[in-house]
Amino acid sequence: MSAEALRSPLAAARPDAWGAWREAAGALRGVLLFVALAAFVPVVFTDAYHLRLATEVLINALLATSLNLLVGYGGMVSLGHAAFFGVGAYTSGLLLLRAEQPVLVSMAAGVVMSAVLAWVIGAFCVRTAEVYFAMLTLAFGQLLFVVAYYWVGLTRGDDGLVGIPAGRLAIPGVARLDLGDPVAFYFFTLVVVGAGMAVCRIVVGSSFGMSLRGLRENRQRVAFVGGDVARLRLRVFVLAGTIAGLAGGVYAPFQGFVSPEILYWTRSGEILLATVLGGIYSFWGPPVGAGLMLMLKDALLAYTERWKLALGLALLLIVLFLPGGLIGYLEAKVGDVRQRRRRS
Amino acid sequence: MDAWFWAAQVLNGIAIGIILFLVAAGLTLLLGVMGMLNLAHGAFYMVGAYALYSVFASGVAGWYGLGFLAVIAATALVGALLERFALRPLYDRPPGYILLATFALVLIFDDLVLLIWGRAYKSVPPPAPFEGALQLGTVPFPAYYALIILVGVLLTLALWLLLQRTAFGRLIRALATDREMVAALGVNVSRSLRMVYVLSAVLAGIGGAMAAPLRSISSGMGVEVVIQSFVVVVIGGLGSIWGAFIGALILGQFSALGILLVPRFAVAIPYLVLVMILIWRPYGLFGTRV
Amino acid sequence: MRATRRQHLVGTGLVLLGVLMLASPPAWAADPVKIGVLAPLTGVYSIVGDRGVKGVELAAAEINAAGGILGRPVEIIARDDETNPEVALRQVRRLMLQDKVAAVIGPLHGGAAIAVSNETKRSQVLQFPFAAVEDLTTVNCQPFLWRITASASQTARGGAELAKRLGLTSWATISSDFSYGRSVANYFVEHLKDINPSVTIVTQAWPKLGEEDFGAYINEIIKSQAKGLYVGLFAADLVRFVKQAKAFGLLDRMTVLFDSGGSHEVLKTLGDDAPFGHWASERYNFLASSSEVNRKFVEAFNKKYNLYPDMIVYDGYASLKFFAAAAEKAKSVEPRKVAAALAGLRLETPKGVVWLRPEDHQAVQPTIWGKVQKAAPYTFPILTDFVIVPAERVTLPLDRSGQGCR
Repeated sequence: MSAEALRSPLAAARPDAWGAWREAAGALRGVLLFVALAAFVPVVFTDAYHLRLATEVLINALLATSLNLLVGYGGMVSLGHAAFFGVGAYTSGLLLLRAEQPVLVSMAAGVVMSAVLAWVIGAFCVRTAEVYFAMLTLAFGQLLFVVAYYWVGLTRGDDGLVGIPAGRLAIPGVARLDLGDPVAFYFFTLVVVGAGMAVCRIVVGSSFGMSLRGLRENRQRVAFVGGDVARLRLRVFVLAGTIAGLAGGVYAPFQGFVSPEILYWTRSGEILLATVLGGIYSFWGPPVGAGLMLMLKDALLAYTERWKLALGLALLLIVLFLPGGLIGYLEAKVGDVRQRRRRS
Repeated sequence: MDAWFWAAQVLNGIAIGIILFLVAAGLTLLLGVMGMLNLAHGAFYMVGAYALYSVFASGVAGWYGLGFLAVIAATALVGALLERFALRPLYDRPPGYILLATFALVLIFDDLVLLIWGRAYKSVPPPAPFEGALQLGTVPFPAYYALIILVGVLLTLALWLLLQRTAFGRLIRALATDREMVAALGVNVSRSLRMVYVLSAVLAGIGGAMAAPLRSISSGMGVEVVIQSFVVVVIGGLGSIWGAFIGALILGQFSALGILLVPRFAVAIPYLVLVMILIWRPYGLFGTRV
Repeated sequence: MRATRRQHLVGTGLVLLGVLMLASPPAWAADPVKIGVLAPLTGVYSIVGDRGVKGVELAAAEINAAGGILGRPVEIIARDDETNPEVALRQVRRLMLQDKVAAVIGPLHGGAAIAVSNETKRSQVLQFPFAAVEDLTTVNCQPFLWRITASASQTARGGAELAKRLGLTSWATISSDFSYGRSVANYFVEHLKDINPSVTIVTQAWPKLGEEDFGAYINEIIKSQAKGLYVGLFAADLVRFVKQAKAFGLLDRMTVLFDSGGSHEVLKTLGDDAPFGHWASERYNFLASSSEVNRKFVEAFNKKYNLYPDMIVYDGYASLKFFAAAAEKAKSVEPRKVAAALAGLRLETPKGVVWLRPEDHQAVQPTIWGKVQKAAPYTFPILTDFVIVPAERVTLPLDRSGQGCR
């Protein structure tokens, strides 16, 4: 190992300028593949119900990915992540409904609001660790829930914001989309989610991402070699919250309705579960887990009233017998196949 | 006289706090000894309440006392089974997995109670001598709350004695400090951990059964309690029984008095208290840096 | 890392499940008229949802026994909404887009009902909500939403009428701090002050929805020395409140009116802890009417389920009966035609003759209040000494209702 690397392993990991672009391009390969595959969904499922379900899957996938920046890469288990999703949704929803702003403006405002809140809340939370961090994030999330539930003048309380229009999207010279059409909205969401995933993927592959992983593995060591632990954690917290706000921003026009329940801690718990289910040690684990959770619950709800029992059992079995989450299992299978091929 | 009114409120708060403590005590033990974020803790609270109901519904005389035996037996059994088959396999994995498993268990239990006991709300009355109200000056105070406070204080003392004066208690404290050393000394660690889990389950079940006569019994009743107990545990500091006790009493008082002083904002109080205490003491009141 | 055999099993199971998930439930023959029911089937309100579904199913059985709707059998598809608006939206989309129902009965939760009404309006599917929130027939009134369930204002205003009759001068209220809960207390106070201006409201308590400990509120109310208390709490919250009120001796110190306290299921749960001697309302009570229609209804429900009908049973039952009657009148199940037939439709129900007001789509009906008593041969507390407040006294005047439909 070079002397430079000993002085600062983080510096050694930083690639040269061109290399950074090459890295980014390589990382984006996965996202582009994902977008390309997802673009085929409306071809396979042409009915409105499945299209809307697929749109919801995309939004949840982005949300889970944003949480995994914290959990999988930063080692910070947050129980208040749904709050940023909710803030993005409420901001976007309010602007669309009350101020009749165009959808991109509303979503942008949602992103900004959640970024600001993530920065404020993060400042409090990142100095604590482990369970204390989880509970602090939960407490802030619940406080935001209380605001949404009881500030009736602004949010209409538990009645929620109803009739949020999806509106039109006009890109001069390119397209005029009526977002009320499920197909159009699906593609719109795909672009948004794709962009969000791309940002996450680039960050994860960058030196910042590597510092994060260092944080997850051994916080003390990072502090030892001169990494500013609190600043690192705050940065990833804000980034995660911002991306969650983006997911929320597109959720409001999608659902046409926003109510305080999406800020409640059980919602945060569900996102966390989906993330862990998919596998926190890979980038694609959480989005897959989110999709799986949603479809699993949807299917079980359709077939049986005892869906809670069925879902609980399914989750328990997965947790007990698939250590790397679903992705881990799939990777293991691929590994099996590769090994067998090599031998033969 | 106004003084009696406030005194009654404070006592109310203490009764609420005692119930919270019973549930939180087990949770803080689990967190301190095993580092486990047990979302399914509320399920034991629920099982305790339903177990008491079953004994009551059977119509047997002395159902309250017998009921508690049933509660202890039921929660101990369920706790032991859960720990052995659903949680032990996950000890070596990252904490997210236990969280996931306990979440799955909550779903399962919430549906199981519906299957076993049906959908209708269940109710048990306070045991016969404690149905009415005592008079504190002009202000009424439920006799049953007085019972809760009395029994709760006794249980707290018993728990303290258990932890400080018995071999088992020493073992628990040792496990919390250095699990590897304990194993190196030849103790059956996995059996000890299971006993800690069972103890925490029994405490939660007792809390649920004690609260039941003045509350209702329904599916999902453990969910809110679990969050409140987590707040208490964090305020008090992970692993600290005294911290949980003080934290529970503080929260109980804030709830009771908060409703009177800042009525529409009382909902936010537990979370505000948590935030403020953690800003002042990042590891809770009596927690230690690990 | 090699995957073990156990992992293979679980993984394969998951893949199969995935295939199952992508497949939809089997498509039924085009013949039946499908009616969706959206209600809480899990969680703390599952008892209410379950009873509501049973009411609808009883009506469906009776309709089918009589030849169906326009010769076609009725098929009920019940879906759980978890008392959560997000889930309710997903489920109603499934009901409308996949199951292709002609009408949706439910949901129970106010916020969910409002969210769902937006979708039913957009997809032009009939909706008969269980929810009593006033907004559904005021600002959120829409062409396809018709409500058989008594609204919050109807019950509360009936309570005010009873309060006036009781002649008590000072009142307190306690109701959950959320949209529906607030409206119950507000309608009571407003109407009471309207018909009896000399009344004073000494204190109002607003516990959160799901409150476990009412001690502080109970003490406040006792301290206020009000002569009467109006309780807007319901379901599990009400069970808790009654038990605690009893333990504090509040029930001995004032007359209490329970807006939803007459609920058969609640009284059954409370048993000996029920608030005997106090007044309670039930939107529908199985003993309030001695009509033949009611007697048959109670008997049929009892025979089919070995239970007595709670108010939500009636809501579900009557909603489907109204749909069926309107469809027969319109000679079609097409939602717009049925909606047109529902306007002004009068039907004899177990509650009496009920009329759907065309301007706000709300069923006009009397409010039922009774005293909680124990009486043989019933093993559970019942309501007796009924005070039936006539519809004209409790129905909101048109200038305050139906705004969304104008």
